[in-house]
Amino acid sequence: MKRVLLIKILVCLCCLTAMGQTRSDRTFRGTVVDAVNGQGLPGAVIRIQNRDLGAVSDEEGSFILNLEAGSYTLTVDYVGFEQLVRRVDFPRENELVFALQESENALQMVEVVSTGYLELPKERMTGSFSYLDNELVDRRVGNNILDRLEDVTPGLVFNRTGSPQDLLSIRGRNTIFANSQPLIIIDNFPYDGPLENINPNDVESVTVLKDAAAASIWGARAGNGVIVITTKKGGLERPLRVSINTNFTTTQQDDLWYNPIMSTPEFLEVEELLFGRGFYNARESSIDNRALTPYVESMIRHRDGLISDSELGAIRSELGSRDVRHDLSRYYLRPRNLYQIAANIQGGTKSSTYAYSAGYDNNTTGFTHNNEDRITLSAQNTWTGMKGRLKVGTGLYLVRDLRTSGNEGPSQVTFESIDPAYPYARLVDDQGRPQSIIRDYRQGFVNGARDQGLLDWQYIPLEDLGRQREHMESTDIRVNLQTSYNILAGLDAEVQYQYWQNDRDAGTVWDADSYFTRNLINRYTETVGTELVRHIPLGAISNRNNRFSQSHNLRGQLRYRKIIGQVHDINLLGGWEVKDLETRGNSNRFYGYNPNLAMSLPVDYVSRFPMYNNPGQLNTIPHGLAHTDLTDRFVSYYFNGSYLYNERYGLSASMRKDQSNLFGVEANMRGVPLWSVGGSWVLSNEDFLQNQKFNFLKLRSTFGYNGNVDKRLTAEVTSSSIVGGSGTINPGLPYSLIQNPANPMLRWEKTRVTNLGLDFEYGNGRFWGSIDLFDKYGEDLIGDTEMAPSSGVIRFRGNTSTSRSQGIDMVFNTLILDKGLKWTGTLIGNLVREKITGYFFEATVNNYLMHGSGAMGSINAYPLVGRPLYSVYSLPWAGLDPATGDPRGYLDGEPSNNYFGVINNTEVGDMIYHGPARPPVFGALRNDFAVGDFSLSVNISYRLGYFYRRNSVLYNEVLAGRISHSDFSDRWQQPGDELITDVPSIPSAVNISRDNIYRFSEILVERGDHIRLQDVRFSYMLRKSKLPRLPFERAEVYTYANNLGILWKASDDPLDPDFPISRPLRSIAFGIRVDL
Amino acid sequence: MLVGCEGFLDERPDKSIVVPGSIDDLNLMLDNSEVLNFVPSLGVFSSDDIYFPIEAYNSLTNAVERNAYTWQPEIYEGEFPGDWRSCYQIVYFANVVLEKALEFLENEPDNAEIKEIVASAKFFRGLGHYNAVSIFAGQYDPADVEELGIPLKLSQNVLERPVRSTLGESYEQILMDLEDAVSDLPDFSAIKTRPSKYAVYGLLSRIYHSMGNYEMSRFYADSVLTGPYSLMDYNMFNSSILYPFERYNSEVVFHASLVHSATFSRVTTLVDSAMLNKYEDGDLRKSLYFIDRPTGKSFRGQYSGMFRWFGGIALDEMYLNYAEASIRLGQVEEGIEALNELLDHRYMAGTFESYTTESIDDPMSLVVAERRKSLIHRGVNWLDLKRLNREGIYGRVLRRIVDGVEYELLPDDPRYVFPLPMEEVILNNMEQNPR
Repeated sequence: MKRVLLIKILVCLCCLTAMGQTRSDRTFRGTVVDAVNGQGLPGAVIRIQNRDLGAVSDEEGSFILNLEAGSYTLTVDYVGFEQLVRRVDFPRENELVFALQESENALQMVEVVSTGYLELPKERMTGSFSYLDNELVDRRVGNNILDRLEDVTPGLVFNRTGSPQDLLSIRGRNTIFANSQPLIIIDNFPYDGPLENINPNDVESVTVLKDAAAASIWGARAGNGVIVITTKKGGLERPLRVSINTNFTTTQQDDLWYNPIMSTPEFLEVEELLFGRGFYNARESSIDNRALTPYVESMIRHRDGLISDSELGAIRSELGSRDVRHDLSRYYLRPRNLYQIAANIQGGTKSSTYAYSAGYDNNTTGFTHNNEDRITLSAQNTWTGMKGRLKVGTGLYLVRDLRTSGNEGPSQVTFESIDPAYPYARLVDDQGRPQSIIRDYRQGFVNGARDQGLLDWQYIPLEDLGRQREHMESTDIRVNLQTSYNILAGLDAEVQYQYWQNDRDAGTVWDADSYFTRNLINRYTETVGTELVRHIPLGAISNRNNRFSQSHNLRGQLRYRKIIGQVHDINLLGGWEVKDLETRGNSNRFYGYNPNLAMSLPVDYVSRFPMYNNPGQLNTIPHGLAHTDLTDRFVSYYFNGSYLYNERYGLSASMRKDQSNLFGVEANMRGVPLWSVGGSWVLSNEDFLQNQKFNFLKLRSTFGYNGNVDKRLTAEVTSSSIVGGSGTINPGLPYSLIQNPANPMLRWEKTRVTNLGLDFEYGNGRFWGSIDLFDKYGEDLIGDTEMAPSSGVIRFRGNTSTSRSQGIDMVFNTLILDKGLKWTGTLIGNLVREKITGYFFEATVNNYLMHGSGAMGSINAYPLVGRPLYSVYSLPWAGLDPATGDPRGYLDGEPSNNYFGVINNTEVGDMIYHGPARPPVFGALRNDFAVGDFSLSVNISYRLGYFYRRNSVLYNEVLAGRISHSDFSDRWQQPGDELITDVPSIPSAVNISRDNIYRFSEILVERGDHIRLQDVRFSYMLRKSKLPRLPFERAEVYTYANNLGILWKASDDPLDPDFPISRPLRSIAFGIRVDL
Repeated sequence: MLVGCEGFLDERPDKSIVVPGSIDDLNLMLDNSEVLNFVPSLGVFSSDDIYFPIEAYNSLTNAVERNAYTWQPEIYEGEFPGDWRSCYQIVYFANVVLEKALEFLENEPDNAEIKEIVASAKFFRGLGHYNAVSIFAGQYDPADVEELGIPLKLSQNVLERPVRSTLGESYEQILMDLEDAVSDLPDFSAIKTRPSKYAVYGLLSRIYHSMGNYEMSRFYADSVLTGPYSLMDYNMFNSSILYPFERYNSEVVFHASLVHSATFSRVTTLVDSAMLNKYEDGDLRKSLYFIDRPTGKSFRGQYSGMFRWFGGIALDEMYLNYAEASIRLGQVEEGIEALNELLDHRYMAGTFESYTTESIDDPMSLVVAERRKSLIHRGVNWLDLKRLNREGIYGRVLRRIVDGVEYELLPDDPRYVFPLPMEEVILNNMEQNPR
């Protein structure tokens, strides 16, 4: 059911038409109702053909027209219903009832989009929106609302490269360093909490605002687009409806073999090579007792004559057969299971509505010992009073989130604190009992320390599981109050207020017997004379981290809607709003913590103590004290107006001025006025198209500005203070750092957007969709510039860049078959061409190669004029040196292994530019099939035209005794190998430039183009109308499978181009939705 | 529309970040010893203070250190130019503080606290620029002041691009900043990362000494010798402790560390045995300065009490400056007397026999040798090498054999001047030093 009542706007309409009317002979009375249930339809438009006369139905669906006696043709239009045309004679005795049939085909006609300020049918809009109705929102299964937008929203893409904060982009990226994420609006206000707190089962619809006209009402925060989420509401005069949705999703276990790495025998070979080169000598004799792997220890014993050749050989072959990933996989990983249940109750009386919901989610994550629980509750009510003039709405939302974990995953099993454990580590012995592995110190030292009376210093990974217990509890409360009062015909005053708070209590307890605790206590143990002095007391260690956030939003606005003479439809909105968001937090660490007695013990944080494992090293005890105190404030003014002439020609304008405390000091920088204008033309209402097959055809265009801020920057020099740490000359003495250099020229970022769009429906619902062309100029974008160090900084951030992106987003729907089998195809297509058009300085070739694609997750981007922000560059490859297997680049046009010379003499223009690192062409093809009560939906997504860099062996890792990529086994080993491989030989010493020549060469760049079978949803509807014995009205049984696999890709690389590190995990869900 | 709106938007977005607006804020910046209290370490890597056996050389992960060690023409290989960066970060901090403090001073021209801040900022700006000129420009020669100097950065505006000044201008600015600073600084500071009058005298002595201006070097060294510092008797120290000397000991006038490198703490970073052999029996510097390692001896005698290598101003350097300057100026007796006093505190009790003008025929060679022995691993050896090379007789040829390849650095070699980082050449069009 896609019936949305436009109460707020339409109430004024009713009042307008009712005003000044008196009952007389000339009064023609009628009622517009839904043909199915006989309910009145408020806001239906009644026109008299060939006359400048009309009316709009009131809340009950009634209307009044003043007519002379005669014969008339009336047309009745209502969003989502078929137009009714009827011949009427007047005067007449009785009231006429106009029963409208719900429209089956004209799907886009019912889309009522919400901008967070206004709810309007799409036909009145000039801007560019993507609208997801409830069916699309519910198509996917899961506990995250944003995931549900993927591959069903034109113009929106989830980014697979870049930092995790850069989750998704709407129409490309519009900023370089400022916040790149869209503004998220829930129930009319920006949402400040974590998105995990939104239960998708509570969401009715989502609207994505894409162009200036759509988003400029949100002003300085709309530069990245706006996602407006509307939760489920009750409806007036609706019977009680109870709906329960429950499902179970299981996601496959993570695959540690996905990323190809060197085999264990190869690793042993490298250790032997390094041992022969004396690489471990320094470590062996180091005073800090740094760890050596078991095989290196064996080689030392062999060298010292403690074991024989054959014993060493036996050890080697034993170790060579092991692979630590088996144990990690078995004890640390598991399939992830998500269980979800949600109940919704909604309905309404003549003057009030209600909607209540409760949801519970349980997620046993992909790591053993970890668990997540979420409870969501909501209650929404509206009341109408004072003869419909006053409307009051309240909303209350409560989310309680609890996460516990005792397993950080396989990466917690480290060797030398940074590297993964050596590949032949075994976490259990032959009897399956947990056993120790080498981690931070040599075994001899660990044993010796035990004899000296220190705590057991062994690291037994499996015993440690669950001894590091993290928890995170959060309570999120949102309270809404909305009132609207109808002052005059067409004029409403509204006040909206929202209070939000989030309490977060997170922490970690390392049990007294955890490795972390034992290690720290031991390190800070000092031998004084013959006595051991523990500077860190025995007992558990606890980190505690509390954060409290709250925000107030207050908005006052006036709305005016008037239809003059049937043809002039005026809609105005103006208001003011103020926001205050505050976040306070504290972090603490407690030593000697005893959770049973609720006590901890004091320690000396100021003195420097010698480390037991390296008495020459003096450190203070880590304290973990930190405080957060943040304030975000906004004061904004906004205006939005639209005018529609004769339902054909529309104009719109909007303006907003935001002032914030973000820039702190410079008053002139606080405010930025942003505006937009737009026009539209509904061609299908023109006479010349009346007889064509276009049911709907509308052309629209907008122009305007959106903004963005970077609150980390300031116009004046700023500093922040810290306390001197362990390694400083003055531990405990506070000092300050310069955060930002002065930048008196700092301004807000602006995006100038032009949009041209076409909405159409052709052939009575056989073909419909929309196409949007956009052209965006980023102005005053905050950009980094590399600075020569003599300036005092090596990087400067300011309004240094400009960018341009052009593109198309489109969606085409066709009803392919409608005979028993109903088959609908939806094609979403997006094209985005982005480039940086101005940037202050050029970075070095090294930076472009290393960070240009953004794939390293670096927070710093290195844009190049004329290229997309994230681009893949490489060095020309001259092949391996046939004599040595050295990689070669080009120096003065000749193959060369003067690596430094090659990189140093490569100009930025000499690099090979492959293309963008993010897909410029993407979209999805969805096919929906329905036969009777069965339906099947299959979504195929595609991403084309982009590039990525494949991983390969890095010898600086290999020669540091660390494991590297499996290409190691394809390396050049003897002359002739250069004909069959591009993988360089092992160098004699670490040479990062040599690694880089290969790593950044063109041969490792691959095309990312691929087509993926994203998901399949299958469902069956049980209906009481067909099975009268059912205890419920209807129930949908569904199953949903996600991440099914790649259908085609351009590259031969066995890895998924969008998932270079870990496998995209398949999942399958089963569920049932019952409507009582 | 909203009364009090201005106050509402004046709230700072993040309490932990301030626009420095008070004396305290500026003092906190001046206390950033993690930026301000450094001197370059490149000279140590290129000098004969340090020795890497082949395995240690091969495991040097920092290309700059490896290349500096073998005097390569190009040293950076795209890696971070730590020393150059440190010099100009000091200058930048100093300029930020200086500009703010001068603003404050306009309102309160007689506020002694603000004047002290101004003086401290000038001290650090002088230090930063001197650090740069000592490593990235040639030896000062009053006859040739038009040689390439360093970029002088005198404003906090990071967008203003400095150009390389002449060597004469560079030294003029450095000396002016330091001489300006003297009057408003306190005589003494217990936290020795903060500048004091004596810190300025000490630094000026070091600078004038390196310029070959021995009158001024002697004058300022003498000023420090009258200060509240005293020579430590090395007999009082225990060589079994890893770092025998405390931070802020009685000889430390001003604390600064060498730009830190992980290489300093490695057990394979050694001192050449030829150098170790220069210490006589009974010379306590040998046991207190050096520690036994599996493959030789490493330096550990820094005046910092921790792993960082000391490069600040200490009394022993002042004694040596005074001694050398006196000898050069013909006051040989006074020079030898100063040397005797220093060495008396360095030798095992009762083993040191004072020198006399009669007992030694070449007091210059003696004082030069003692400078090397006392001031090893402080960056001073590099200054001395550059200075003495000009004189012919005290200059020396540095030689290293690494992996069978012999490297040599002759006294007049242009590689005594380190190259500027590529960024300065590319982004600021600065002229590169010939190497």
